[in-house]
Amino acid sequence: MTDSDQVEILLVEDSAEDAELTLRALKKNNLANRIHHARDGVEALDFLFARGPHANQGTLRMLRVVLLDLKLPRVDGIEVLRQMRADPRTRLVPVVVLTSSREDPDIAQCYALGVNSYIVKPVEFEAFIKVVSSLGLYWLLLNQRPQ
Amino acid sequence: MPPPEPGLSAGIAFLESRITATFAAALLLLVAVGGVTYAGLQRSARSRVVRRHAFDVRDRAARLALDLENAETGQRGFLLTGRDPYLVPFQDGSRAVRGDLDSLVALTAADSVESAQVRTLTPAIEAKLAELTLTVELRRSEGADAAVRVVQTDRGRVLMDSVQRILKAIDATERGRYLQGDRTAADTGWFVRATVLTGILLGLALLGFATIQVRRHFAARLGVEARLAALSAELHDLYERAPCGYHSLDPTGLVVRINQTECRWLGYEADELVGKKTVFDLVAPADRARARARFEQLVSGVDIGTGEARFLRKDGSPVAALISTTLVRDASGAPWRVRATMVDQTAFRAAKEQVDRLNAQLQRHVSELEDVNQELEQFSYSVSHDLRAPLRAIAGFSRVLAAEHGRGLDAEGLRLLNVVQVNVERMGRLIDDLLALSRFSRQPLARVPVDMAALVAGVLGDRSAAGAPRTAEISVGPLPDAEGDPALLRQVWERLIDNGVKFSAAAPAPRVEIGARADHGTTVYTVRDNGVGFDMAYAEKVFEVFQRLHPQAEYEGTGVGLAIARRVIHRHGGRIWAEAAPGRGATFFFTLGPKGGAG
Repeated sequence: MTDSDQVEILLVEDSAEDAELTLRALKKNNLANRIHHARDGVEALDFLFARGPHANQGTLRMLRVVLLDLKLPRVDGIEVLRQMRADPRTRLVPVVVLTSSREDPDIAQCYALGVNSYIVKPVEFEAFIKVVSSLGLYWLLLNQRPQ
Repeated sequence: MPPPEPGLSAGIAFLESRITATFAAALLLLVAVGGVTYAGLQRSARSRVVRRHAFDVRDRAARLALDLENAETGQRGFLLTGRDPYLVPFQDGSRAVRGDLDSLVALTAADSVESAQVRTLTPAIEAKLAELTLTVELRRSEGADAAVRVVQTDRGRVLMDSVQRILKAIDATERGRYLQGDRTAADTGWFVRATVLTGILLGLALLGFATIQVRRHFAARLGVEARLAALSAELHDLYERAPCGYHSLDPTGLVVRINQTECRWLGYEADELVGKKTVFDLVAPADRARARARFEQLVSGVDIGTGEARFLRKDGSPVAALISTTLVRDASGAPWRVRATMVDQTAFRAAKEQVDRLNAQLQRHVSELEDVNQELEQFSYSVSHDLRAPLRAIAGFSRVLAAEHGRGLDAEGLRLLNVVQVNVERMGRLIDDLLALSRFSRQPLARVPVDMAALVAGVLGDRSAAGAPRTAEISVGPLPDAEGDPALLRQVWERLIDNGVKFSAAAPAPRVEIGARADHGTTVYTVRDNGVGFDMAYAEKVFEVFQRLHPQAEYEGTGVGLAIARRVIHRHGGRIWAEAAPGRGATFFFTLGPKGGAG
């Protein structure tokens, strides 16, 4: 991965296949090197709050968006979201929930916790663009210098 | 006991008052006739006294005239003959005349008219008697000539005429009075006879009238009695066969009357109880002291209301009963009877236990149902996650395969890959629809006014925005407002319009008509297409999950859309149905339940 200072997207996803497909979709658009992939809620929280293996990392000044799966081992996505929203460092970071289905009953709860949007998996690039556009992140994420 | 019918008793009261009035009239008549008769008799008696008096006066006057003539005849004989024997009539007559005069005076003393007349008689008679005596004395002392000279002066005749005149006047007076008395008696007699005759006739009429009234009165009474007897029989029947027990006790608690229902409950015959057992003999021993205390309270005038007691049947088994008692007093106000109504609680208790048992069972079922529901929810959740994860991988990686290695595949390889992708997509939609069906079944139902026209316009707008195929021409008629859950009703319109568009696509000029009509006060919304239609034999099947009437290859779909529509309509308490014929299109109808209807 990359230095935490440079991370623009945090992907929290336990399914290897889903993660691979998401990363593929984003890699095609030269974003993969700015993505950090956490495999469960604990990893995500450690990265966000500089704990455990990430105790010595730098600031998250470039973090633009968190792509958060809800069904995670150990600490689930809802809990990650709750802790993010409770902490001043991460309160304003946009969070986009990855969901298996539009019928997911957790979506309503996520909105109540201040989630910004959701994407139905698999995360296709077009869907991703639509969401980041609606969040006003488009230019920040995509108009970067090419690698 | 309720009073007999009011019309009857009023009729009897009217008859009774008529009879009373008739008898009162008869009594008055009797008194009047009696009074008149009595007064007539009195009058008649008075007139008899008057006539008797007149008769007496005339008799005395006549006798006086006769006696005076005798005295004068004796005087004349003596004057002519000078012989003493002639002096006897003279002296007797003179004495009799005085006696007659005295009795006349006495007889007429009470009457001023008569006594005045009689008073004029006295000097006339004295004068006559004096003249007679004078002539007799002259004859004896101076001889016949001297006496004849006196006689020849005519003074004697004059005096006699004077007496005669007065007597005639008296006679005339008395005769008048006699005749008047006679007339009065005759008049009175006629009046009394007329009155009595009239009275008898009137009395007979009243008697006849009264007889008729009395007979009618009796007939009416008999009618009332017959009705009372029927009523009494009915009451007796009601009493005996009421669904509750009745018994009456004397103030010591002895049974004096008991109905069949209670006898049946207790397992006795009535004559085993009446006059033989007290109510305390029937109460279970454990309750006996309390029952006695309550009974004594009641008899002493305390209202004890309704209580529960256990009774023992003849066979010794217990009966639980609710007892309501009232005290009845006799005319002097002393306790006379205790009346009780008894309700067998045994069945009630059994029923209550049954209800409790059923309630508990129901509660168990409800919680089981809740468990099942929760499981279902969890199942839905895992379907959405766990079933989708592999699907996602298949979809994603087959896409990657096509994109990155498509060039290495021949046409058949690409076609097969496409089949995989199409089916994965279809399965994704299927899972989504199943989850929607489950969600629409469980999600709370809102009941708000819904602008159906706006809702349909929104659905059509979204369709064109989403780039849905514009195969059919869609027309929308006037749609009355409804009441329901807008989000769910939107699903209904979406599914029905999708359905219409889909199945009309093959028609030469595909058309979908949306409208509504009123039917017996209910609005029926319709979606009509001119598509392939279907056989009415399957009209119910179209609403069932996964039931398809057309091949998947021809008409894309999951077979869940109409099931969702039906679920939503049923939750609104409405009805949904379809009419169709193969090749001639289909029409779907739905109504919403009454406002505030089933949830």
